[in-house]
Amino acid sequence: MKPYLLFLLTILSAITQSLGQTTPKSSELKEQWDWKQDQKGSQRIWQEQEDLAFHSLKKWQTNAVLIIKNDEIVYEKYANDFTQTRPHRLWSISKSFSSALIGKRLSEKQWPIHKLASDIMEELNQPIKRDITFRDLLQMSSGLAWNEFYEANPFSSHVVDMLYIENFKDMGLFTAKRKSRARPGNIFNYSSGETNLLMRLLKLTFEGQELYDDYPWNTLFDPIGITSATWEQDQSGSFVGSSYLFMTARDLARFGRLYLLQGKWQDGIEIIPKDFVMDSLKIAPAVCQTLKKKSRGTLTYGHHWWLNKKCPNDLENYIPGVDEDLFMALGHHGQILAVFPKQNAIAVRFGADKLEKFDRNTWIQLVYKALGE
Amino acid sequence: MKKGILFLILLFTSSCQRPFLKVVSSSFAKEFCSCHFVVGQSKDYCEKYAKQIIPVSKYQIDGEKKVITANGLGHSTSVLYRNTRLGCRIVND
Repeated sequence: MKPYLLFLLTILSAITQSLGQTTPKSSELKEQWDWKQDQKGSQRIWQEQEDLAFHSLKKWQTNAVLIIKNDEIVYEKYANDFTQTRPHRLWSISKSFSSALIGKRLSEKQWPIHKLASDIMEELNQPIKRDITFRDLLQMSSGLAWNEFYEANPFSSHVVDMLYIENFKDMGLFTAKRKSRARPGNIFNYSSGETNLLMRLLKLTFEGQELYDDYPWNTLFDPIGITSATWEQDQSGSFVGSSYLFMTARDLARFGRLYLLQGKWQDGIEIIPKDFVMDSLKIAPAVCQTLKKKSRGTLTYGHHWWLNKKCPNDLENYIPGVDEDLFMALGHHGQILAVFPKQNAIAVRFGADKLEKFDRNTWIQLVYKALGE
Repeated sequence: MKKGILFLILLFTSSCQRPFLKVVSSSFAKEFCSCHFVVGQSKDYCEKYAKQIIPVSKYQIDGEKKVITANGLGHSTSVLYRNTRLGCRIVND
């Protein structure tokens, strides 16, 4: 071949290749970072929490425990055919992921957290309901009537109706149709419906189902290296943000790490806005005034996260002896994601406790004690 | 057994019970599908996991179409495994 032709072909080839390089797909940007493995750590210090979780004769079933300190796996154990690669259902831990997506989307749209939900969803444009904000929903304080009972009392349960009976067609819409029993922002009432309403609202901010379907992966899972996620939807195509996310323990711990790092990941890249993360871990205003009227016996609540912070009249934190800055995502049947900021530690527990009897507080205290050793 | 009988009595004396009867087939089929196709647990494990106070009268697994169909208390529910990302979803009323 004549030299000038060869030169021309080389140039053309280079141009073609560079034109073919469009923006890398999210799969190509997937986070390569991984947990360190502690090869030398003593397992003796973890024995007490292991005995409680796995060897107790009580009626609970632990499928996995994973404990991480300073980005190192210091304890990991699986049972009942669960392994480090088998995903587990998260149940209501899913809510904390839903919250993260809402925080990100509000930031992208440059909407304040007090944006009215009725601006986006016409069905909420009714007296009282039209004043419900994204913040109210994140704080489970919309005032919409809701009974969050489970198998023990399914007859009057809105969550059982929503998931299994009539309203899996459109869970967010079902929630929006509940009566208002209080003005928004005044009463804290834990509700899976509010999360699913948020996920419906999120869907309405996209032009097209595909963009919405990809959003959790593009925004959150891929950038922090979660590869095992499955997130189920209702019949209308909204993610069941209250309950139906699945992933491995190691992947779930990554989400805990993201919040430990105040929304940032490697190289300081912001995944979820820091302000949103920090606000998520403050007690929602309606929580303490609602709990004052009931017997105290629960953690406090932020934006879809459970907190060990005290209400003003409490004598001690709900889990005594453990730092106040502990925050958790919790799920049905004993799912736990616990983040201990001062210890730079994360603990995950997966279970199948149909009787909901797992002694979570003692387990957290034992983990906390071992973290200090 | 006693719990099951009590459940049935409450079920049939409660108002609006017809739609509620779907809970048996729906909850079983949905939880079995996710357990088996998403989590990858065995059929035996998933049958125990998905079982409620009132058991289903029968269920079928269509491995090729990845559909679980369960029958209970006069209702039938089918749940489809869609794909790795989106998992399972109830496909009929």
